[in-house]
This record gives sequence, structure tokens and C-alpha cells, in this order.
Amino acid sequence: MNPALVFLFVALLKQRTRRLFQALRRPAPLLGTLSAAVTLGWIYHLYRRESALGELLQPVALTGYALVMLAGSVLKGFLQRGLAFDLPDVEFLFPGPFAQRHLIFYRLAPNYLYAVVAGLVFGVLFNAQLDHPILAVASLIAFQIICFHVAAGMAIFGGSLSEPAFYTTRWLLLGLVALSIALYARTALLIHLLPGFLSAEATPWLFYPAVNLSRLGGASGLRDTIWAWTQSNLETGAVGAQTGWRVALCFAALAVAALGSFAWLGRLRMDVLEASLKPSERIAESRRQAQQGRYRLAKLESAWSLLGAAAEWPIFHGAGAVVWKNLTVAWRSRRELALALAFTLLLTLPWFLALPGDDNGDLRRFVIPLAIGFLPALLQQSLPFDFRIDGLQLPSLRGLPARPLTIVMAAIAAPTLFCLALQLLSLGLLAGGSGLFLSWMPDLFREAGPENTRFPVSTLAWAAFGFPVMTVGVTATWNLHYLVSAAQRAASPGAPKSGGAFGTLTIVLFTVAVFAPAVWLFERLPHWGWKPIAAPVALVTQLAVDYALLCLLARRFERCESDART
Amino acid sequence: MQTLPIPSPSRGAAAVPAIVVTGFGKDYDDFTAVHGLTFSVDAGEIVGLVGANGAGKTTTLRALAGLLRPSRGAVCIAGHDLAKEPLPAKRALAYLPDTSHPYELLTVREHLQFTALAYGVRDAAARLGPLLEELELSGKTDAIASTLSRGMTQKLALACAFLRQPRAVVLDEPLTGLDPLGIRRIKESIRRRAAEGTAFLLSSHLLELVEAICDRVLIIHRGRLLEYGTLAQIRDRASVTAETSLEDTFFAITERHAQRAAAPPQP
Repeated sequence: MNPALVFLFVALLKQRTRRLFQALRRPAPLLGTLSAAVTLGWIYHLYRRESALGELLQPVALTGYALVMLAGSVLKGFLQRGLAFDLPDVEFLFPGPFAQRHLIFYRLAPNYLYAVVAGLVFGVLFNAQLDHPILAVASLIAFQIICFHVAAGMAIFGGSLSEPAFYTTRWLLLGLVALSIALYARTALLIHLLPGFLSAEATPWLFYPAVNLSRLGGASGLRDTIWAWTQSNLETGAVGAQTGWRVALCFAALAVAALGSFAWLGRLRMDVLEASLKPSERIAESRRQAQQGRYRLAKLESAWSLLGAAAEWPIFHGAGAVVWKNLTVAWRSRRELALALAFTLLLTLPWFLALPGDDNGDLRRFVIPLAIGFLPALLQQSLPFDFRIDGLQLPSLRGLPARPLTIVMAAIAAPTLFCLALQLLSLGLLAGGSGLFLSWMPDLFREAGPENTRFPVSTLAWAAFGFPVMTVGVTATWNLHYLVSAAQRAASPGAPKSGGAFGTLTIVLFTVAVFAPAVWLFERLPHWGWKPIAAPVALVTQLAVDYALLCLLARRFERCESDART
Repeated sequence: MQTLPIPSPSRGAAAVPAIVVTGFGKDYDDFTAVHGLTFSVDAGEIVGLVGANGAGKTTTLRALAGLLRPSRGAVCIAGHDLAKEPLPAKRALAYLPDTSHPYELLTVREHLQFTALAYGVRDAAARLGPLLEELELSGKTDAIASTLSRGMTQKLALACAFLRQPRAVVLDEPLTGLDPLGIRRIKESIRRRAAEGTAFLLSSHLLELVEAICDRVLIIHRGRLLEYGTLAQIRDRASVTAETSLEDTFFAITERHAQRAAAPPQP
């Protein structure tokens, strides 16, 4: 790499590291980081030798992760439409005397560093499950580097296309990714989402090692030769018994592919600079808005609002105006809503497929309702229609003629309502749709009966009370985090922003912690002989925790103005 | 104040115009931002690029800096075709965007060190002191860029550009965010460097500034070149008096162009 770019990379890395440690000198980030590290370390210590961890490293799972990572890199890169640089890079490097390949390498350098760190973390976490940890870590690093190269190449390719060509290619790529995943599901997981004639005879070879050698052997020419070769090696003990050389071969192949993909990137004839301007500016703008404390919505779809006439309704007067404002923004941000819906459907699909096989009813009684109950925690980023869209306008909300607690409840109403609607949809699909699915595809679940898809009334009643309580808990916690961050930003605008990942980790742990008292009581009360009242007590406990959270949120909100003035 | 010694360009170098733009045009998907722009900027000349918002000024300046690839035409910097010899062309040109974005975590000194390394400035250490003093950055050498005011950030970008003594400097709204004293200092710096042989092409909405320091003015409107010449030549062609300000001349030219464009075609 160019010496000037090396200097720049090292200088920036040095300063970032310094900032990170500076941030950790303050008590709040230090405590947050330490508590997160201790909690995660403790969880790891407890479960490091669990066989379930080993299950995560089975060839089927590994091939699935690899497929998802590769498909994600292709789509993420392409949809970015150009390699995104930081704005200072655009100002100082683009007009500078640097070859295109030097700029690409400079842009990818932090990704390489990330790949190494992620590989080492993987090695530490799964050390007990790995026979050849060093080779496995090196293979993972090489594979991540390939993914970064693929993403960069696709970004450059996407940026070089005209608008119509880009949109056509986008649908083609999405179709290709969906087809690959469906083929993988059919070949490796035996989930027949695709008719058999679409799956060619050679398809299993695409998903090795998810499909084992014996299945590949069952499937002629080249395959017969490879099969005969592997069989002979199996007999001599060169394959299987000694997996070391297989892992080494895998690493060698990945390393060659990583080098090859870099050479390919360096030889691209497309114009990187022009294509990079737009994504660089777009990303800089989202960062700017994030620093102002404003959550960036993808795009306002239209100025028309379904809620225009509803503004006259008495319910939307006073603090209700906040609900109206957030619902209007939500209506105009249909991409976020579509993402939340897609995410909900994606999470519902595995339960949908697993439900007919639920013979003992554990899934219906306990696992699925609990999973849907925690759905809001996963939907938080897709439904930012609360204090997160207010940014610098936050203190001005205090001028509303209503009690802070009322305003706070109004502010979190929109995401709470959307979460509840999506939870209802998920449960409705599982309760109603799974039976229909079973009747349409009886071959898929030969031993399943209609009773396997019916949810107990008690569970549905529990969901009717439990879901709102859980959703309010999650939304209040995330908004509390947001208000505290906004106050910190207002108090010290120049404060280092490092440690943000630790902050998010802390809030994730806190989200789990707010449910701990209710879960603990729900678990302990049956042991003390109070099983019948366990669920109601847990529910009331969570309600009390929610109320405390809302009061805390209201108090924090009351202090926003003085924080902003500071 | 200590002054920075700036070598005059060699005679051979001076003979080649610093910037030559021939038939430059830029198309986006369904929109043409610039239509066949042709002009040149000689060594030691200050040319002002004037136009309304969306006229194509920034597109033109970005193409000169090599950030955008021309859809038509050619751009030569110090005799090097930007499309065929991008590296020598880029070495000869410094570009300052309208809003400067320095590396937030680097100090002023580190920005200048990086520039010296990137452009191979051998006597950077000797040049640094006078340059920092000239731009009033002496007391800020170890300040992190994120702590600088907008005006100081602009001065840092200028320092990085001037440190490497380019043949041509392209400035997009160079005086944005500067205080009156800062504006005067920068104007003096530009004039002094132009006198030493550096070519300047600057775009600005401050027409008084353009009138005060530019030798020639380039007026573009909706991506088309309307006028190019000295102020006197432009006033003459616009049929306005010699006392008419550039602002009034600009409005007279653009309004006439708009009327001509709106008029029905002659049978």
C-alpha cells in the first residue's frame, strides 16, 4: 500500500484506540463495559463445553452460515451502489495521486482488521469444540476477507450501473439469493420449498460439506471419480479419521480465493471514485443525524397521510398529538414497516414449520408465546417512531400541556402498537395458518395431527395480557437509553463517541434484566407450591417494573430541557 | 509575518495552461448537468466560476479534481489529460470542496504530514512554519481537527493545498465560514500565489469577491457556458455600463438568456 495511506491508516487507528480508552476512563462506560464483559464471560464460562455449542459447528450449520454471509455480502455491496468512504477520504484521497487499487485496499484495511479480531473471538469462544483451532480461525479470517472483497466488488459494480439496469439486476440478484437459499434448504435441511425438478442432480455438490460424502456418492462422470477417490482415502484413513488435512486444504482454498478476489478487485476497470461519492455522502448524512440524536428513516415515501383527517379526533389532542405525529411519520416510512413485517414473517417461519411436529405441546404452551413475546426486542431498530425521531426537537416536547408521564406514554405508543400488531399477526399465522399448511402438505408431516397446531386457550389468554406488558417494558427501556444518550450528547457535544457498541450491549443486557424479576418469580413460585398463582404474580410484577420504568423515563424526559441548555 | 518562498513555475511549464477544459459535458441517468464547457486557466490567473444553484459549478469542479468522469470532452491539468494520466494531473492540482471535512481524529500537523507524504513534498518541514503562520494556524498544530471552528477547518484545508505548491488550485466556495479578517488573509494568499504563477479557479456566490480578485469570469447557467472573459469584455457584450457591478451584469445576462429560452422558435 502507498506509504501515505499507511501513515493515515496507522494515525487514525492510534487515535481511535486512544479515544476508546479515554471513553473507558469515565465511570458510566467503564461500569457498562465491565458489567457486559463479566456477564458475557460468565455465560461463556457456564456453557463453553455445552454440546449445543458443538452443534453450531456442524457442517450443515457452517455451510448455512457461509451461504448467508456470502449472499449478504453480495446484496449489501450491490445495494450500497458504490464503495462508501468517509467524507475526509473523499476530500483528501480522491483528488490525490493514488491508484484506484490503493484506495480500495485502504478502504478494506479496517475490514481486514475486523476479520482478524472476529476470527480470534471465534477461536476463543469455540476453542473447546475445535480440533484444529488455529486452522479453523485462519479459515474463518480468509472467508470473511473473501466476503469483504465480494461486497466491495458488488458495490463497485452496482455503482457503475445506470438506474434502470441497477433495479433490474437488483431483482435478479434477490431471486438468485432466494433460489440458493431454497436449494440449500432442500438439499441440506430436506425442507422441500422448491419442487424437485428445479434441483439439478449436481446441486448437492454446491453445498458440500453440508451434504456428506455418502449422499454425494449416491447422486455420475466426475462425481463418480471424486467419490471413488474419497472412498479409497476413507479406507486408507486419509479422510475422516484425520480431519486435519481437510481443514488445511479448506484453509488453503480460502486463502487462494481471498488473494484471487483481491487481484480481481485491483483489476476492475470501473470508476470507483464517481460511484463512491453518493454512498459516502449518504452514509455521512446518516451519521450526522445519528450524532444529533435523530434516527434516520430510510426515505419519506409520500407527503400524503392517512392520518390527515384523524388530526381532528379528540384522542389526538394534547399529548395525543405526539401519538398522531409518530403515527404519521410511521405511515410515511413504509420501508421501515415493511422491514419489520418481513422480519416478523422470517422469525415466524421456523415456528410455522416446527409446529406440526410439536407432539408434547411444549412449543405451543411455552416456547412460541415466549419467543413472540420477545419479538419487540428484535423489532426496536425497525420501529423508531418514538423519542428517537425527535432529535434536537426533544426538549421542545416539554412545552406540551400534559404531565411528563402522559407524554412519555404517548411517545412510546406508536412502536408499542406496531409491535403488538406484529405479535398478533405472528400468533394468528401460527394458530390459523399452520393447520391449513398441514392440510395442504400432509406428506411433509406424516405423523402430525390437527391438534398439533392448536394453541391452548390459557396460552392465548396469557398472550393477551403478557404481550402488552412485555412490549411496553422493551420500548420503555430502549427509550430510556435514548434519553440518557441524548442528555449526554447535549451536556458534552465533543465527548468521544467510542464505546457505543458497549453502550448498545449494555442496553441489550438491561432489556433482559428488566424481565428478570418476573421470570424468576414465574420459575420459583411452583417450587414453593404456589404454581396456580405463578403466572398472574409474574404478570403483576412485570407491570410494576413497567410502571417504574415509565416513571424513570418521565423523570429523565423532564430533565431534557436543562440538559440541552447545558 | 514570515513569508513563504514560492518558486515561480519554469518557463516551459508556464507556457502550458494550467487547466484546459475542452467540450466537457456530464450526464447523469436522465439529466445533463453540464453541456460542452470549454475554457482554460493560464498560470498565474484567477478565474471566477459564477452561476446560480444547480448551474453545474460543483459538477465542473469535481470533474476537474478527478472525482467525476466526464461524459464528453477532456480535462487537462498542467498538460496531463486527466483520463489518460490521472496521477500526474492530480499531483498538479489541489481541490477544496465547499465544506471541508478533515479527519476528525487527526491533528493539524498530522494532516499536513499526510499531505507531504502523499504528494512527496521534500522540504515540508521548512515550509510548514511560515504556512501555518500565514494562515493563523500556528497555535493549533497539535489540535485535533474536530475541535477546530469551521473557519479554522477551511484554513487547514487551504494549508494542505498550499503546502504542496500545486500548478492549479480549484476552490469551491473558499470563503464560507470565515470571519472578515480571515477573508482578507485568504484573498491576500490567493493573490500572492497567483502572482507567483499558481492558477486559481474558484466558484463563489460572493460576486463582490469574484469581482475584486478574479482576472476572468466564467458564467454558467443550467450547465451551459454563457460568458467567459474579463469583466470589461463581459460588460461590453452584455451592453451594460463600465460601472455596472458583476452582480447586476450577472442578472442581466441570465435574465436575457432565460427570455431567449422562453421565446417561441422563429419560423
